[in-house]
Amino acid sequence: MNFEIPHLTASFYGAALPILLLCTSGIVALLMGVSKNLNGPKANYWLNFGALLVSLLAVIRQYGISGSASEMFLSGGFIAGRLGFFGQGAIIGIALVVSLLMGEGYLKDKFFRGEIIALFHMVIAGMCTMVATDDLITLFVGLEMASIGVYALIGYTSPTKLSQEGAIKYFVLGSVAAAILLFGFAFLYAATGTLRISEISSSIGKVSGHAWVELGAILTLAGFGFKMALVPFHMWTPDAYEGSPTGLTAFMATAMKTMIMVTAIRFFENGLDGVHGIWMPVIGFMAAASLLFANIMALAQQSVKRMLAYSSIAHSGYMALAFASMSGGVSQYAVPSILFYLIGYVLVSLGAFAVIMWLENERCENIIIDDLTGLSRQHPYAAVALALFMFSLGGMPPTVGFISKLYIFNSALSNNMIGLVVIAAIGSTISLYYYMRIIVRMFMMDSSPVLGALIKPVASKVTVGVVLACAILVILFGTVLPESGLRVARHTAGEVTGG
Amino acid sequence: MVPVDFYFVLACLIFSLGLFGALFRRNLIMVLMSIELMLNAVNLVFVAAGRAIGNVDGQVMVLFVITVAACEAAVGLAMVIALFRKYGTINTDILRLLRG
Repeated sequence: MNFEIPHLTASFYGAALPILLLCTSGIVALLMGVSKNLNGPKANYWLNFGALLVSLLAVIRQYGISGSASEMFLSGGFIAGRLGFFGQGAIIGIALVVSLLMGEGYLKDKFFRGEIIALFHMVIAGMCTMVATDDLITLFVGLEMASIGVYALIGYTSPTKLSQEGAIKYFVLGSVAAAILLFGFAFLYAATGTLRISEISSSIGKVSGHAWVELGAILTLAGFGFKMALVPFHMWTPDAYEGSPTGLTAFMATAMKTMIMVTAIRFFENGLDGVHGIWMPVIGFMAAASLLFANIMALAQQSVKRMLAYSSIAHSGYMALAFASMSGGVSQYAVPSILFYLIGYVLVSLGAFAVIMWLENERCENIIIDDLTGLSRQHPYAAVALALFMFSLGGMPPTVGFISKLYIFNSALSNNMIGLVVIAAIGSTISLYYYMRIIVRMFMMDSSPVLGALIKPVASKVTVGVVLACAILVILFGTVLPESGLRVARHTAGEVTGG
Repeated sequence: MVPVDFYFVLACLIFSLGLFGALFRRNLIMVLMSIELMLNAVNLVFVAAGRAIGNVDGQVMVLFVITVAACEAAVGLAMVIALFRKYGTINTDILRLLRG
């Protein structure tokens, strides 16, 4: 092994600015927590807003100026490339939206505390590290920064019995998942002698027998399956989503998913492409199991958050379907379709969670589906917005959910995976029932007595803005803009697929 | 010299023990210890492979794994203490609010 002196040029600091900025603002938030004058929700709110906005602008600028080839820094520890910047931009944008929504919710004073904001920013920095690295050590450290921070955030933001139970279940299963992933990395290292993702494929079989590569590939796939919440590794998802405060549920469902999907694209496309015969059938099976099992389990749920958790498992299944069609020559369809699906899913989830967060208050922390009965009589706009997001989650035509599902099925069909597409279509049909159930409750039944406790006198500005923006984008991407959305996805995917 | 594959098989055994403990033990302290056991099996593979290949990357990874394991244990123990204050026990059977 030859040691090279890392060249930390101005372009490195430009590219790594968001991560450095978020680490700094995390430390500043901790220091503000011990000061007398600056330790208020207001100061923390503006620190959080400023740091996230500046890093978002920095990432967008980097995405704009990055070419088709990615640039490696710190011997692979940091990649300045379009896929990484796309992931970072999505994660920071989601964090900004979620924290603004938290600023209007009933948990405002609990969330905007120095130690919580410090944890939150460290989590985002870890996520941003993980999506833009070629090095397994850095990838692991970024993953653990994100995961450990989220365990603490769930259990500590509002320490109720429910959130602590969710946190401890998530902690145990998340740590087991990290250990499994790491065990897989260890065998890949043993078989190839490298910890660089881009060198794994070319070094397979150089050092030791093929059996260890296979074991490593299967174990890493299981680890990624845990983090992506694919059946049979999904057990933590409903508990963690239902237990945590809704803002953090939204953050986990969108930012964590973006992080793990972008990393998995890089890992499977660049790293394990050489052994795709081993992991493709397995991820295909996991996709089919997720699509059937999660959609059937969601039918019986009463809690809205728990239903959305099962729906998130099912949506991971759709993306895993595209992973299963990512072999050799045809990944130029699969990778953009995953990214486009991700954009659509993030927009829809943020919108749906924004409506749910707006309805919640201290007396009603965990909304069940019956509570929404007759919402259209009291709050027609909220009901229409929620109905639109449910349509999109179910994949109905005028929304982005339909188009993105079409692209996923298209990429699977171009790889002749007809059986999997049939299973996905069946799962999609089952899912319509539980999405429509919410719409029927909201529009076709009289108000429930519980709804009175949820009613707010005025609509809050940020929530209206977020819901409106998500709704407009969901419709635009579903009707007139899908081509340009897909063009962005293709442009982004160019970093790993070439071209 | 012992062939490097023997280390891998030993690590697999230790890892399976840890996995079994983490999933089936009822006491949360035992669960935390089982997770540590799994990470130590990982370390064994990295060290043995690094030594066999003649490459320091494995040892570097082990240092990071040890650090992260310490952080994980810190957060895990904090959660166990918080749970003990609320319920007076650290048995996983009490975690029954979230199901279905």
